[in-house]
Amino acid sequence: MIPEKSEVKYPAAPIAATSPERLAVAARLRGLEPCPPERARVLELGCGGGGNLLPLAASWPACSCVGIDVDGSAIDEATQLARDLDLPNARFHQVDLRDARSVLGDERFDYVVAHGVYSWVSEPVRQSLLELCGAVLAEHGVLYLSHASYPGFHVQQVLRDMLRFHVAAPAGSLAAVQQARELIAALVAEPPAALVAPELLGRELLGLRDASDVRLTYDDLAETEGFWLEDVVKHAAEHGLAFLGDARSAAYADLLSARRFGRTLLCRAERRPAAPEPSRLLGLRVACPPFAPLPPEDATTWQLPGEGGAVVSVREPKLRAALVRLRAAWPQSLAVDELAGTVGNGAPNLSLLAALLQASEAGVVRLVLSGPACASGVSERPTASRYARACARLGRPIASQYHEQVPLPPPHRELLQLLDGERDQAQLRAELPARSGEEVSSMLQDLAHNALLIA
Amino acid sequence: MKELLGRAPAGRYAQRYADPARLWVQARLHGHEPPPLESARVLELGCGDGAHLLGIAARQPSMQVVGLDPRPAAIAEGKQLAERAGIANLRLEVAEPSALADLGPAFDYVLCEGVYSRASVAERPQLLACIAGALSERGLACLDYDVRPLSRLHELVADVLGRSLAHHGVERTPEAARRELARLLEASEGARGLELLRSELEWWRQRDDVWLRAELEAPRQGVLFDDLVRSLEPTGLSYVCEASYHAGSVEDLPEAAAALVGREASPLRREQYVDFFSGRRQRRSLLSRAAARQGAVNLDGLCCVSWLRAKGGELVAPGGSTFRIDDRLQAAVVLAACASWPEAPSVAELVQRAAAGTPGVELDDWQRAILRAHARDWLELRPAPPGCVGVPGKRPRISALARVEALSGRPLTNVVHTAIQLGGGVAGALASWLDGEHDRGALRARLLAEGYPPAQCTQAAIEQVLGALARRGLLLEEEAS
Repeated sequence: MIPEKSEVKYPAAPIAATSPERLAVAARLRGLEPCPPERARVLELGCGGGGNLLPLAASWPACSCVGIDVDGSAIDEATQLARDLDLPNARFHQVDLRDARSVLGDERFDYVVAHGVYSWVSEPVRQSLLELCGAVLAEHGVLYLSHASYPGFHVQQVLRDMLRFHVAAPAGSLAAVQQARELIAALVAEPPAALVAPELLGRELLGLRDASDVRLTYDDLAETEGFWLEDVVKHAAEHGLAFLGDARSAAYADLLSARRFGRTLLCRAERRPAAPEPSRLLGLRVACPPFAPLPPEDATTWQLPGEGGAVVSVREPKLRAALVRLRAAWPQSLAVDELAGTVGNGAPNLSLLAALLQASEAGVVRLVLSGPACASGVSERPTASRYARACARLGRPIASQYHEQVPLPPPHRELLQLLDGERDQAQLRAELPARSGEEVSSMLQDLAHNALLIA
Repeated sequence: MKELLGRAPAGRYAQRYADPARLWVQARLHGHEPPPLESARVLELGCGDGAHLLGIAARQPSMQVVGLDPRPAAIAEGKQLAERAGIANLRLEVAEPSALADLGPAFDYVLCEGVYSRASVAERPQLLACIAGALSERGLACLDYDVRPLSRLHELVADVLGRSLAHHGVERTPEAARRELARLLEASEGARGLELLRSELEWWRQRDDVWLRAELEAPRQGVLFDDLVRSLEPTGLSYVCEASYHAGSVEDLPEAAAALVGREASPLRREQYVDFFSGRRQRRSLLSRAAARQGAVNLDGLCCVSWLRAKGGELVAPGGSTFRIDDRLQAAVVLAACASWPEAPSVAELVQRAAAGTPGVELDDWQRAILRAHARDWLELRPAPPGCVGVPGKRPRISALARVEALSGRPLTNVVHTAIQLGGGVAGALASWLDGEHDRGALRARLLAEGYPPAQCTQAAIEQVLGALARRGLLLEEEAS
């Protein structure tokens, strides 16, 4: 279980895969009619300091966000920030999951997010979790449930066993992290022959070496129960829920994928979701950051790294041109219909739609419903959201308009705080005397690139 | 669920590391006073067809050996083999579920192979309690089990395979498993980073049907050594040592690991780290209710035998691989043991022979070298000389048990309780006739009479088979005629 009192604080960061916009797209692709995120009711179980909910509340005034967590200080922090930013549509409650109904009453939610809960709580809490989700999920709602996932979790457990034995310091302490790093260093220094397979050495051991204190504390050193996806789905079925899809990939029950972390989407059992259908991309929008990979110009087949070492082969000659257009438009999105809507006779280019779907599953492009209100470039009075500015000021993790966490160095944070839309570029330069004009311009470009500037 | 003692494959063979003679030596090396072998009472829980016990009983007729297994057919087969080999001190019994409660604390050596890892979490304490209850005061138990973390890779494949068969609604038969393994292997081909999974799948695919069936019916699950040691507490048992050092010891760890492990005061915690850094997946641990004596290791009365062969400065293992020993003293004792074979000199005698070429070394250093060589299995310390001959005599003889085994097409139990796979043909036929009555002419005549092709029945061919039997520790001293 995740330690309640920890010296390593869980960061209040956005979790891109849980964004209602992504969940809505996943549901749309499978033939459901999800609630538009901008006026949805969103519930997060285990919301911590509100880093995942507050950016939604800030972007969408008509969206109502409720977060619960047992950690009182995290809830206080979230509540305080909601008050400071004047976000009455974000409410936070300190309550045990098992008693959540006492604060939620009969409320229903269009999106329910339970990230890092299912595998990391005791069996009774796990039961309450799905019972609660079954009770509060709205008719067309989408539930996001993450869990440690077999078969990949077996491989992770090899190193978890070692850490569990070696680390004597109390869970959540910095000393525990220190002890873990000591063992990892000894293993990395001269990896035992049994660990040199890429799954163990490459993915797990070197992953541990580079892991943050947060990951070590809340993932590798925390008590964790692994589950097969099919068992999670069976468990959910007991509460009237059905498998909708994977938050990242459409592959279901791929026994060979060595994934160890499942991001499972569920809906009400009555909804009967279909397989993702490329034609359902029509009506959506798509975006592609310039830092995403681009297929080589002369290749007919593009090999994309999928999950768990799998390779996704995309055969679509028009995909490259589409991605080039998308990269140029970034951080704004383009309508899918505009990219692939018609080919001469007015029929949609289904093969390009299928390729875009694959590229989305491989994490190359982002499919969105309406797309965030990003500025197309750096305007005379560059503006960042009030929430992003507050996070920059408070040292909290920053969320992009795509609900992705953007790691920003201190000078960028300093600049971001000033982007209230009142100051023009000359004023910005004047307020940052330590930076040259060129530096400020380049930093503004970075912020635009990271989808932090709004129109 | 099948009865616990019947979950491991029933077809057994001699295991040198689970031989009371080996356990006796290991326990002595770790400060114990193990019960004498001559009068020992030996019990195997889950003995299958008893083939591991046959050689133990045959070698020491004054021992009383008992094997328990719930499978009547396996017990019947073992009984028949024992009878044919003239082994009177082995009692094989079909275990009733109540049998485990009624054993009484009467056994000096309790063996348990392949059972623990197939026991459920709830059954494990019961099994340990039963072993503890059956042990005499100074008795030794030998428990074989899979160890985590590395056994998890085995568990991964068992899990994937089991799920996969269920997913396709296929019965859990070896044939279906083999088809499914092939399918999974093919599906994993293009994927990067799945080398581990692929090599595990490939390894599984090469197992025989009996093995696969056991894995499918009762999948094995490992235990962390540290957790096993903790679970011994309520039983009064404590950990003594390993029956084999195989995968390594603290001394063999790489530098960074050795520095980390060296800080541990507890030998049991150090032992756990060895599993991490050596990648060990299996242990055969000696357990006892008695405490160890402190003090120097006493090697008096032990003798040394090596099955390596020295060839042009290199050593050749029985399997044919060659290697060198870097450590000067260890090389000297191993070479001296090789040169002495088939005689097994006492430790004192071996030191004398080794010191002849390497003078001026303290006795303690020689003893340390012998212990290290024993730990690496370059030579073996034994309670008594194995009593085999190196050169086939006029009327070569192998044990009655080995002759019966050869007749039944089973692996042959040699003088140090190792199963030797002969293959059939001339070698198998010859082995089954070597009762010390047949000379070369008689052997050749019999081969020809039984219709073996003359080209395989030449003097040279017969010599080659006899030489190989001698080399593998199967030929015994011949009766003086």
